[in-house]
Amino acid sequence: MKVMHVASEKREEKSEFEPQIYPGQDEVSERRRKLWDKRRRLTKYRDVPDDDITRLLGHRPVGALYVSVHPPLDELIEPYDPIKSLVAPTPGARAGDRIRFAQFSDSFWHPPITPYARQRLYFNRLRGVDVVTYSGRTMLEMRERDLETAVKPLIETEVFNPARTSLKGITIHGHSLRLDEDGLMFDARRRFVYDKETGEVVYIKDQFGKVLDRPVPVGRPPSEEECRKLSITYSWDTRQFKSRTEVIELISRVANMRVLAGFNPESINEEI
Amino acid sequence: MEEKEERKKFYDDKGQITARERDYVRELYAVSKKFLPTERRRAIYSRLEKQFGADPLSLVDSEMYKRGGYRQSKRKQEFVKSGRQIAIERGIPAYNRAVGIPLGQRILEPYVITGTDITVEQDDTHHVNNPAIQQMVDDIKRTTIVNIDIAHRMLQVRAGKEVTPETINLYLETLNHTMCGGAVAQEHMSEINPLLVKDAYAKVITGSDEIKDALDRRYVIDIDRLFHPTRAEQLKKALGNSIWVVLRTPTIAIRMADGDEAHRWAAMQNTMAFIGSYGLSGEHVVSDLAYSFKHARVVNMGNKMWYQRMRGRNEPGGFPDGYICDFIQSERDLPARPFLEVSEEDPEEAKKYSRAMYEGIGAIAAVLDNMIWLGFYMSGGIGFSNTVSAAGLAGGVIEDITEELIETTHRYIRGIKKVPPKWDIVRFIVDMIIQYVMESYEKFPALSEFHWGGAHKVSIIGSMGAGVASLLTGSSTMGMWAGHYAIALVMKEGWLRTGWAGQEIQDHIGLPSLCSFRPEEGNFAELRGLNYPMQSFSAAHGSLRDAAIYGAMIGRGSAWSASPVVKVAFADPHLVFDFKNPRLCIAKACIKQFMPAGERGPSLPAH
Repeated sequence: MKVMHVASEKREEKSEFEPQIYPGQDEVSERRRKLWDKRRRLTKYRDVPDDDITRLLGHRPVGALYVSVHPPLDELIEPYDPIKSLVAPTPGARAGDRIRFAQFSDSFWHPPITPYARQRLYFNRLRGVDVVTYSGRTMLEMRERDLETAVKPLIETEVFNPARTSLKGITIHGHSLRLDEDGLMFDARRRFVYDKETGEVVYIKDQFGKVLDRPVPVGRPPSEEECRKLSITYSWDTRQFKSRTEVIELISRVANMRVLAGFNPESINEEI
Repeated sequence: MEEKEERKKFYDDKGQITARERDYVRELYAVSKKFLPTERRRAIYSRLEKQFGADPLSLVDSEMYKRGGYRQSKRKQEFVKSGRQIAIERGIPAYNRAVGIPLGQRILEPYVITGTDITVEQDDTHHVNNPAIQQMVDDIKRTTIVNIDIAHRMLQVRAGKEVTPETINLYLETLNHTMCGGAVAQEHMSEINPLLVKDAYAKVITGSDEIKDALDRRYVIDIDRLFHPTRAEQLKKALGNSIWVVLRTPTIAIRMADGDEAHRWAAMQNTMAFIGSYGLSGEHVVSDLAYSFKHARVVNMGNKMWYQRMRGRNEPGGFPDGYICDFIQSERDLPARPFLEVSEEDPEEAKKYSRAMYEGIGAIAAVLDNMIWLGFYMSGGIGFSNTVSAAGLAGGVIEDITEELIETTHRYIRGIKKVPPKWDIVRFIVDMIIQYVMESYEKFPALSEFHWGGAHKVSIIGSMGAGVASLLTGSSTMGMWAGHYAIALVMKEGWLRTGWAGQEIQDHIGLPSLCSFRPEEGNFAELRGLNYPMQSFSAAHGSLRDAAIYGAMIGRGSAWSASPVVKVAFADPHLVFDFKNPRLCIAKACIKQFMPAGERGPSLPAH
């Protein structure tokens, strides 16, 4: 069972309702639509072996068994619950894995994805998640084996910029700081460095800041031009927020309708 | 193709813009770049350049990780030395930089407190290190205001006593003795060393010139002397012939107990002063006087909080936002005129109003909300929310942006006294100013580093949205609407991020409950407070609410926000903290030039 539909060949059956995902005709709106639409495939930029993902997450040694917190669901006799018949368990839930987390931090400077963009992507593309969104980081909690499967495309595809996206399980400070001399986002635990010989960003510590047995390369940082192209935020030097009429109109209407709905719902006389 | 080349050359050479829609939409970045030299002329540029010692427009900090850690800070070096000394003396480790994450891998930038030339370190503005911040809270907590008209009526009608200016003056002299812990009615009482309670006193407020003239001037908070005549006129009219006594309980008392001690101390000493000066005994009228001073005609600075918060009156979580705006005194020398009228006439004069506004919002409202209530009372004091407050306290960021707004309104608005509080009108202005703030963060990487967390940016963006809308409309409700919209929708959809742990939740919820004035649903903005249920859980929103309320007061040209009595009480020059120049007070405390009250020196061994 695929947890993340990034590589899914099949398009879902067309229903009458076609989700618009996000308003606006510009490139940034289009990037938002692409990331949040589970029917669309994310572009793969790099290969990171499964074992390296496990190392980066730092929850279990490579090759170790998954720690379980309850017997496999198939072996459990549970009271009848209709919801359990409707919702198929994820592989991790079926096996009884413990819940673990991955936490990504996204730079303020032309990031390919941001905390709220992550949240919306996670909710649209993943199953069995619990998400906490902060200003610079997003925590993703899942059953352990599901988490490993989910994190792989999050590092291998266009939503990961090796210089400006980082896996920071703890000590997150730095998303809004200027970049270091190699163009990398600040990290108080120096988990990743720029390898000048290969031109790649290399993780020398796992997400908790524990030194890895061997470094894990995660690819070359994109050029500034490419960062701007992939940026998901409106910005003065890419697509300016002030000229995004459709988005502004929509959020203004949302504000107005929320006030009216709370104050005097009867006064709403608008055909939606 | 040739035409394109020509146009490109034309742009490059002349820097001129043709007003075609395509240029604005598709080549906006190219056009914006041409304005970078203008950005360098902004006050914010030179401030950040001084603060960071680098070009604020540069995205790269080549010195990152190479600044020598905590040793780049003189203050932290002192802390390490003191921590070592304490550990040796007491045999238990204390402050120790060998544990935890290494600090100072990035620049530990100094702060220039806005409106002063005083440069301080971040740690100096921590509320535990800064006695001025403590005294500000103490001065509020220790204030109780009591109306004595009812007491005078009781004395005259029920006890048959005569009340004259002479008896009132004698009562006030006696009260200033009892407030300091002096005995009046019984022999053989324990008394307090006056040096320990020298900040305890009582003074009178009245709107009547006749009463004021009859009273001993030492006991009067003189509205005419302290406020601009136009403000004094409004305040005196509202106060009328009533006599209000402002009682300041000693700082040491509220530090030993809590803010709820203030009104008990005040009621007891006030009753004793009446007993002493009017020759009363244990007669029935005394219990009614005590009731009057404790409950009937008493104004506390804060309400009791709900069960889980468990705080008595006069504690920060219970301060109504309208009162917080009345504690602020920065505007009191300025004529009471609608802001837009001033702005249209003279932008320089209008800037005085906006500076006054953010002096109070940045140094009182933001500090009370982020540092004291949420950072200390609610979360136990981790030092994060102190840096959020600093966004309003230092760097002059809000001032820079507001002054830009004033230039714009002066240039484009003519003959309008107030912008109507209609969403379709206000939203354009709010969109414009918030997008300007957001672009400032995008253009100045050093500013983004200074306001390094989403909470800092939420604080600035929310109070800018709220302040602008309320200044222009004179409506605190419209200010709140704009503030919530700025965070929950403009900032969030522009950057797809807000603050710490979904800090826009209260803005999403705030919009639907905004215009309902039922207390359990929305309530008047002025009557909300730091402990308002849906806004009490994360930092950065107190400044929004208070910017809306205080901005509306300035926008309307009013002399007070919620209570004329509270406004006058905090104009008192005998207060230890100066509520007119809060930033200066806090800055002085940073450089150890502010002397607070409530110290135990007179009763301690020589040290």
